[in-house]
Amino acid sequence: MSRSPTRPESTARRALVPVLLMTLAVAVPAQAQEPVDRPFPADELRIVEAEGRDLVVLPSYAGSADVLETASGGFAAQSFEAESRLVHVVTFEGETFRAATPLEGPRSWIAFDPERRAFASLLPSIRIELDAGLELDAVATEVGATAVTVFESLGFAIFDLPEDLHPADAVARVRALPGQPDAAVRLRGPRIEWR
Amino acid sequence: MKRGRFSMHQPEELIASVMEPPDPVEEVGRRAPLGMRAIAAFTSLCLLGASGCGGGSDEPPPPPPPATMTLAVTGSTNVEEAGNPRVRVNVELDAPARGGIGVRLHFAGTADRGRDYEAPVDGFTIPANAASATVEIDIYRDFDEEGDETIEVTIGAFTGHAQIGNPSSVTLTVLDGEAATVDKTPPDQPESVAALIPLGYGVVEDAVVLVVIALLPGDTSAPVPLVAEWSTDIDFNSDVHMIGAHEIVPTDDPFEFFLNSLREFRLPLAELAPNGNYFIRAYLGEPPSTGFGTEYPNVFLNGFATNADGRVAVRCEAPDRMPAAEGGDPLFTEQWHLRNTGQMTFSDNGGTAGADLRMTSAIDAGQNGAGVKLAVIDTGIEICHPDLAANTAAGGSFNFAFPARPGSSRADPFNFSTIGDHGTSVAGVAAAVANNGYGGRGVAPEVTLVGFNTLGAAGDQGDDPEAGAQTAMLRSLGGSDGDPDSASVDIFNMSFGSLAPSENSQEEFVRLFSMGTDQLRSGRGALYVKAAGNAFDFCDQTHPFSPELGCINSNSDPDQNLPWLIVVGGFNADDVKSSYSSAGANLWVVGPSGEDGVEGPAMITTDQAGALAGYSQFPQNRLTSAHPLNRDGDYVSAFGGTSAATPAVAGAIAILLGVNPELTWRDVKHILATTARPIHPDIAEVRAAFNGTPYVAQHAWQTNAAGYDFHNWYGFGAVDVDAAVAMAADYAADGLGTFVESEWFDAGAEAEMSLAIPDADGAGASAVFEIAGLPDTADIEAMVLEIAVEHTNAFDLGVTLQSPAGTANVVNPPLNAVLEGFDGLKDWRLLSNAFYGENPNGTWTLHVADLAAIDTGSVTGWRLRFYYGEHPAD
Repeated sequence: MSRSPTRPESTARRALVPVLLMTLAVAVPAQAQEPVDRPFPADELRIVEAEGRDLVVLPSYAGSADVLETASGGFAAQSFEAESRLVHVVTFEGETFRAATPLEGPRSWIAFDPERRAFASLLPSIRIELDAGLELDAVATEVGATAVTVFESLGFAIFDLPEDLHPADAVARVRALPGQPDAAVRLRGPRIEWR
Repeated sequence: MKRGRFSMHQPEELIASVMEPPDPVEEVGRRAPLGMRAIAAFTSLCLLGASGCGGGSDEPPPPPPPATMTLAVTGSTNVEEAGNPRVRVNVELDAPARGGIGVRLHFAGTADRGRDYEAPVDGFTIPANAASATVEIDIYRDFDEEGDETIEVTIGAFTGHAQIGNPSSVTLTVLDGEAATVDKTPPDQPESVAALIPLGYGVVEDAVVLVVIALLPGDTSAPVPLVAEWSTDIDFNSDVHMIGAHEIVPTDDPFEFFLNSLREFRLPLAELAPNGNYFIRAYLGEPPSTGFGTEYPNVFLNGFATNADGRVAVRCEAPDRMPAAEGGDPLFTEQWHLRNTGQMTFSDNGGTAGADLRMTSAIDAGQNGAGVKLAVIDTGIEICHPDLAANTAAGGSFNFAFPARPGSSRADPFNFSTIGDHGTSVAGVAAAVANNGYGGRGVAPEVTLVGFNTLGAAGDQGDDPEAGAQTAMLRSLGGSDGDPDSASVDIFNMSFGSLAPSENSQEEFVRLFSMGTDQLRSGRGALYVKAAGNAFDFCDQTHPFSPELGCINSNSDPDQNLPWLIVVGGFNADDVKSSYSSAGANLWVVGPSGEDGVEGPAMITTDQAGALAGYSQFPQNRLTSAHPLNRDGDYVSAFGGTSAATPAVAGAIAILLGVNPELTWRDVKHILATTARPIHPDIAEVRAAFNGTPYVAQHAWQTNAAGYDFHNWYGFGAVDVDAAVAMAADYAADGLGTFVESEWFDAGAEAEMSLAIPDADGAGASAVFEIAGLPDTADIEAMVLEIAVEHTNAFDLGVTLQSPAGTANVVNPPLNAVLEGFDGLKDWRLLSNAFYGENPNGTWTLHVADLAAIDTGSVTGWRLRFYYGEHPAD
């Protein structure tokens, strides 16, 4: 009690929490599954920039294996459903990485960070720069925003997205609007603890 | 004298009588006859009738006897290697030297000179008329298992009018220190850990909801029960009711293991009575055999209260309290952090008088932070608490859980959990009202207080619990002028943080803090005061370095590499770092936080009001509701962590702004740094030899070239409120010059450098970079190193910077547990305050050492950025 009440009891437990909340990544052999339809354009491998790094966005639904050539070499990924989860298998520079996200509850959007060789989780929102001429309403309509928080002093606005809209897809849609607004996906930060 | 990694071969102090001699070997053959020649010359002169040749006698006077040289050791000849001892071996004469005496020393024994110890010279000249000279042997601590070793020092060849006496040699026995290797065993895999992890605890219209994940060890062979219960007894000894039970089935599939072990429990409010206090717990396996407040594995416990309508109490209801008849602050005399008299503060041991905020004058003068607005970004605040209510700004607080929590109020960030509200206790340290007849007092008892329960943004259940938290943080920390109005805040208290390996602050927060210090407070800049962390002892490693360097460094918080923050560590009632307080180069100051409240004083502060709510229910809290000074249970004596140090410093800053509202954020930092007390002055340098080369993993207190004392445990030291107020009162605000963020000075990121780091070797790898072109009047206010290292385990790596002025600072210590098993450093930004006030121009040296075997790698890039004040030329 003398410290934060949320102080974890062990290193192992502390490490588990963010893993559980976002993704699970272990190196085990992949299993092939039947692909299903891809309802969104984002359900193909694509590279997005976030926090100055290039991330490979993974499909949000089950699908066939996909391959993407990156600066670091070949990148292959497949996502498939297995019981209550969506399993992602990534092969990069000879290593296999696996992640799983629950199919129930809030949808998880994940990406692979080749530089850190780790999965990253995308927030269900995007950031738009408040450049001159930006029409917030048009952006909100385009992405079906559930909430818009404008930070004028910071020069950007946060658009909360509907549950089934992939943030990478939302960014692509916004950038296609007149004036090509500057949009970016947002990465989920490390878990906050009271100290 | 500077001491540091780059001057460590020099003796601790210069000894005036020690001089590098001419080579004694050559000299012996030549100078010994010279002595004879001197005698011969003396004789010749007398033969020629010169005066002064023996009183007119024809016989020459006998030559004076040669001085007899012996060896002696200052102190014991048995020395503990673990202390990095420096042993003084003295050549002593039985009479002052007649002319210089050159002495050569021989070093032998089982210890290896250069690997186990170093002597700076092989000999020296004892000046004329001196009677001794000293050589200081620097014995290296290492972690090798080599047994006790010996160093034999013997007087060798010499010159001058002397003879060798007895003893002419000494033998030092170096008692072997603790052997240690870095454990490279992979950390426990998730499937081997049993754990119960709460994911959500919240309120819906008709129920209290608990969501947990239950993890089983991989070798579990049978299903394990997961049980949730409620009770009116916090210890669950009576009145226990089942909420639900599940069998968690072991599986070899790690995905099933994680995802199929998530369970939700609902406690219908219809089962409960109005105006009651209830506790809810879940456990995996056998029921806990110990009561509340005792660490027990795999148990979740929380509480709530119902109101008169039978709903969960989610609003602050002002309790009916009677102030003490004598007024004042009944607990003030136990608040060691305000005035330390050695009181025990309900613990088993008292502290040290004077180990406090040094604010007696401020208290006496009524300098209480009036007119200053402080925001506590936390779990909530009891805005109706008897000792907080008078300072809370009406309507100024904000409840992020309001949209999702039935019955709650928009401006009331009330925490419905009844086992302690972190934010309420944090708030009391800074802002508890003084002289009202209740409890204790805050550091700034007239500050205007607002609270934002930022992590409540996503509601209590159902939604992603953290999806909205980052946006809420932006709204809470100055980015919003409504819902909440954080843009009008002067000081933000941030008693929270995160840890991640080689992770930098996100762009949104970089922009936030930059804006907040540039624009808020009418351009004077808001103060962001942030807890360093409690991770000093947070590791499983048993390496001897761990208790000296700490387990996880405070630079491991991604946001704490930003220059706009004031990162605060904690000290205890004995003026020493609190045992848990994280260390790091990014600390600015330390504030009082204490220890556990049992063995040593912790902090007395506000607790959730009521005997059946708050931390005061914990058994380790001595200030229970049975105590006459806490009969209503509104206070706690066992609060701590850097969460407590942070509001103490935030309160101190409120006092400064109250005294001089014109101060900019940089002025405040400058005043704190200038007036801080360098406590624990004798803390030793942390050093050990790896592969025979000594490596400084943490420097002792050092004074940089601008005259600022700095230590990675303490930053510039403990906040001294009265000294800071004295400086602030007459301070000409905004006098630090233009604040400049330099471009990155790139020493290799674009140059495809590859600097191999020798494995398990204190020699490490070094690179230099010349900074030129910044103003001569530039004074560093912070600097950031960004470094890229390709390595198979960054846990091995220690990173040190040395400034052109010679100040060295370890910006990432080796064995930083957050990097355990992590693959290199990924353009990691590490902030140091150790160079405050120095000029950035000149040669900077980067030193990276790999101190554990097996894993290897190389530096692939590094660059520097300076934040400095550019003064107008005088």
